[in-house]
Amino acid sequence: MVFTGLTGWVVAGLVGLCAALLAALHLLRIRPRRVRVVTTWLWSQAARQTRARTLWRRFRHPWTYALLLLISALLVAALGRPEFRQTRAAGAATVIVLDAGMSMAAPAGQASSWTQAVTVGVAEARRCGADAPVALVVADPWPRVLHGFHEPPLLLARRLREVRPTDSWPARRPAIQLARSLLSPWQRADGRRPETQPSMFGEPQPDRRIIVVTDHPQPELWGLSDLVAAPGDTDDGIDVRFVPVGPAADNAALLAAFLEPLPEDLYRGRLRVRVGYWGETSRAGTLRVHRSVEIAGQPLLAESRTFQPGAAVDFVVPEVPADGGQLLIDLAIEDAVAGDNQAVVRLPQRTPIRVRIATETPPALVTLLASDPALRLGEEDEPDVEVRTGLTDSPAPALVAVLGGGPTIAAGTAVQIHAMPASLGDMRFATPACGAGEALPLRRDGSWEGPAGSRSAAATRLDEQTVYLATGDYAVAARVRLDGRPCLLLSPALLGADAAVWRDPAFAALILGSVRVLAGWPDAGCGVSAQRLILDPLWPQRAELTGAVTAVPGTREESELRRTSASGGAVDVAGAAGWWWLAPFEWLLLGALVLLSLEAVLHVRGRIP
Amino acid sequence: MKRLFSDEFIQAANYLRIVARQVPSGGRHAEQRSRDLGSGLEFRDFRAYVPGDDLRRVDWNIYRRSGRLFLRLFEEPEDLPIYLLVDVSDSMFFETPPRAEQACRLAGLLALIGLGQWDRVTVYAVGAELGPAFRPSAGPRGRHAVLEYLESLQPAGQTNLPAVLRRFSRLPLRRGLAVLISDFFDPHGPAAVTEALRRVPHQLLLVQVVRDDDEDPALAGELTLVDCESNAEVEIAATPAVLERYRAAYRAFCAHLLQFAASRRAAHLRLSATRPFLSQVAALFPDRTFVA
Repeated sequence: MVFTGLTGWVVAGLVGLCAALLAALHLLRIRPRRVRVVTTWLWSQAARQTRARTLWRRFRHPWTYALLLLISALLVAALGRPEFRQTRAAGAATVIVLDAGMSMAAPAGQASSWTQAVTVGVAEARRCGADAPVALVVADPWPRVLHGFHEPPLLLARRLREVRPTDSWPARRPAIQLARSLLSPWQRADGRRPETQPSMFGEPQPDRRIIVVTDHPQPELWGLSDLVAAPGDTDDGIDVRFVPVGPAADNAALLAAFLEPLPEDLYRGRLRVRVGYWGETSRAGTLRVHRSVEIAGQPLLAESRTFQPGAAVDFVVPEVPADGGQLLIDLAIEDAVAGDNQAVVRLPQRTPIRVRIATETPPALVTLLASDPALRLGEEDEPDVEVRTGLTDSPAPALVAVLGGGPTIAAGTAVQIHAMPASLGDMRFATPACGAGEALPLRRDGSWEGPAGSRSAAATRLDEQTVYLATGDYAVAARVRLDGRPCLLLSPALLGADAAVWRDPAFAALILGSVRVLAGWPDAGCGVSAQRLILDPLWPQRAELTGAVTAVPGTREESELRRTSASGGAVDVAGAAGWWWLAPFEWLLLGALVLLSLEAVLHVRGRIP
Repeated sequence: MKRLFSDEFIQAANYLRIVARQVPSGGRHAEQRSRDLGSGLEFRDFRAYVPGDDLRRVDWNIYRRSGRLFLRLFEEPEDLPIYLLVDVSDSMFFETPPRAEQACRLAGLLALIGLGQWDRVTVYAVGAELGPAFRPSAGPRGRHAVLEYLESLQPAGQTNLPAVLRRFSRLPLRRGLAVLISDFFDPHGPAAVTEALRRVPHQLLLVQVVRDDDEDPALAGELTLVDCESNAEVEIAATPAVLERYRAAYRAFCAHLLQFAASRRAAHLRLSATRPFLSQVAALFPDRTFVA
């Protein structure tokens, strides 16, 4: 047994320190409970007999001391992370190459081949010992060094557990080359060239070695026959050993599913299903995609392909709505593992804002609202927002809207918008009464700041309507709750014969942003490029909306790919390492816990003081 | 101490007797049969008349038959000295109820019996030293006085039975019945106590006042035991093994007292401090008579 967490000397030193501390505590006279008795003469007789028998012992309670010392020794040994090694190559440098190809994601019992490979990799690293240098190379399409020789050994296990198999074929040959290159300059601590070292079992052991953990342990697949010589034949002397994991059989598996949104519709997308196949020969298979509730009906996709060994094939369902529904994906292929041929995918969900508009709504306004793909117009029974034109609080003013900076886009009785507002607060409307050049800021709450010398006034509340947009004393738009839902009331001033305002991107952004805010969407402002037309629905915020609308999984786990088990329940694909197998240090901890419990029981029963 | 002697208790004393096998001579007239010849009612013997004898005691029938003068001799009933040594050391007052209560009850009972028989009763309160003698007079006044005296006893320091007994042995007392009522927990050990008892010239009655937890104490864990008299400390770990050794030591202690009593042909009584008193003393008075 060797210690991988601490050196043997440190473990022995800690045990000795515990022994000394326990002895000191044991010899210290702990003040016991004082009890008055009628006489101590008889007790002195009984104690005298005890002392006469144990006169040679320094400790009053040697069994207690021994028990506590044993518990301490077990705990210290557990800290040292012991491992039982069959062989020990003194100073051997080891590179563990982990196959991270897509075939490693195949299930192997309750877990997957990859999970087994990680467990094996961790065990091999521990077996090398705390003093031996160990490196880790991941063999995926881009082999890389995951853990170097000079990095702390304790990080290796953690990094192993963070890696995932890819959905592509591994570059095995480059991975071996990389591992070999790591070992080439390796020298012993005394500076001598690496040579074979005799082991404690009498057989010469190589000083450098590569351990390949894979589900394809055939050396020719790894191109090894011409890369590595047998130990001792050349001065390389690198030993290569294969550790097979997982099933070595033909298998096709559903690897991942993606929803790619359509450029023209945020709420629809292409479903891409990736299937991986590994085996000796090509096979034909059929992929079907059903809606879970319509399994017996027409499938969304039923496509047959021929799978080549080591290839990943994408199946595409042209158009599916992002309505949160479930799809059942079934891969019909004759392979050795049928458990990974079915999966359930949940589509992301994005609900547009349902807007109800009045019949007297100007067509230009209707066009504006309809141009926003986030809105869905119609005679909704349960709209999210209602847009009306019934804001009647004042005669239609001659408004001139002046924005902070910029030229006047339009003039006249209609609202003039000069430039793109960064936010609603930046919009300024000027009344003719103020004169040209003066401006009254547009406030969402209706208050206003006049020119120098003017006094501010509180927001104008009109029949319990909250003024949403106002300038001066005139409300431009107001928000009110009707039947429990928000309603946007627009001023008649905006409904003049001049409908150009509705096609102005800035104002369109203002109104559409108001609708979104009323619907509870984040108020991120509606900055629209002046060059964009309102007919162009591709708002700059579209990127954010896109990210929020679609869930584009990049990995197997994020696709919510769930495998249906034979019992009908969903089984997590990733699986977990076997928790029933305990490491040696865990056995030591368990032993210490058992002894502690025993000591507690004996103490309670008065068997030991 | 609280009131120890009930009316029932006093009434019981009227029906009990202490009878001595041997009464030392030189006592006063009482009810104990003695070797002395006197003016009792029990005929003992004849002796020849010498000038000066009381002519009223001449047996004229013998003179008529033989022509010689003989006197009729009668027994002289005398008293039995009863010495009550009541241990009132601190250990006798340690627990609740204190052992001293039962000790004083027994002393009171024996005192009442003795005083009722016109025996000479002397009470000594012993502790670190032999206390002054309390000699109640016979009769109702004396009975009341001795009970009052016993109820008034207070703790008298550490136990030192060997020294007390040695001093008691040296007192010029008429031989009688010495009753030692104690727990016998002496720091010198039972051997020293019995060695001192051997020197006591009187007939002995040893009364060991005990409690149930003397043999089986309810102790556990690491303890420092403090003697209630001397404050001496003993550290123990009250494991089952140690408790068993203590019980063995206690049984040996009791056996030693029993062996001494048997060897000395002394009476021995174990009086529990917690059980009813009168039911326990019935064993001491078979047929309502204690034969000293």
